[in-house]
Amino acid sequence: MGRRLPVQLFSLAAFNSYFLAPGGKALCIPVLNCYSCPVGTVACPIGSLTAFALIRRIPFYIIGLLGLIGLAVGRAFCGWACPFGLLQDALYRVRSGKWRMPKAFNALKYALLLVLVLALPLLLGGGKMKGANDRITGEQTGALDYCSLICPAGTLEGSLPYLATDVEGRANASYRTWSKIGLLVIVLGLAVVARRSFCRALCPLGALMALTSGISLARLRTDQEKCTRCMRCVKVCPTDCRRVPFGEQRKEATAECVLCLDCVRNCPEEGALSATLGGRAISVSQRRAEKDE
Amino acid sequence: MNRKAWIIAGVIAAIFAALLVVGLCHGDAAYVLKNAQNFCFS
Repeated sequence: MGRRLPVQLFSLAAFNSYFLAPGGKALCIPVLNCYSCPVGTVACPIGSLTAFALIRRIPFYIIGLLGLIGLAVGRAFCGWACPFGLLQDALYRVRSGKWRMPKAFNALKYALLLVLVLALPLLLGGGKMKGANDRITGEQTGALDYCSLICPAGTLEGSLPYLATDVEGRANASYRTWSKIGLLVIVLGLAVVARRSFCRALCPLGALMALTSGISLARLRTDQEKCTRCMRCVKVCPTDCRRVPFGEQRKEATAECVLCLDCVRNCPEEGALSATLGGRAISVSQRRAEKDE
Repeated sequence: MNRKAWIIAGVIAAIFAALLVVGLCHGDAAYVLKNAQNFCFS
């Protein structure tokens, strides 16, 4: 993991330190860390977008803020700061058979973003804000949105602590709650066998931030003269997004790139692969790269 | 990045910044906070 693990651990602590920044929940940061958890520091962009859709209001603030973050660093928050990404990285280290998830699954998250985050709350929301019980468990209103039906981060940090601390809520838990818990188990199980499987297939926040990857100032850059096309960067890529530019084919990575820089760190050729921010190199491959994958 | 790319990035940044300001003036941040507090189960 190299330098990424300490940053991820720091982010985990920072995004779960509500007592340090009580007003932080006005801020939407592109990480999947459920704000229904009392210790959550910031607001979840997906939950907030759903809330705007429910009252049929255009979320200028969220679009502007996420757009600026995406323009600056693309999906780097997914790779370096997302607590749920850290959990998946940790689970993938469990010894087991590994599975290369087909790329066709990548499209699923865009459908989830469109249908469960935007369309259904917009059409069925009724223009009213929903309370915690309504959307954590989805029990009382039959809410049909991402938070109520799928979000495993919400189940882990919202539903489970809620059920653990609220006797009445536990007694009234229905099939909707148990289906979310079952889905969490499946997502965590998948993370053991397929690297960053949730980010690739089910995360609507990843889908949202992927829209900015084409305009991002943070990019990978391959020096075609130094690259020996050993394909090590392709093999270590956690989201299976790395492309090696060759001749006219200039694409470095698909929109799935979370800028984890595992490719740069594992590149064996000095200066062949670098990460740039606004054209300036911020990380360059070294001849004796660490091989801790 | 060449000059043209910087200009394009600057224009896009200005658009997003304008959206952010419009949202802030519209009370979006306050609504995000209210929703987050409402959504929090404690």
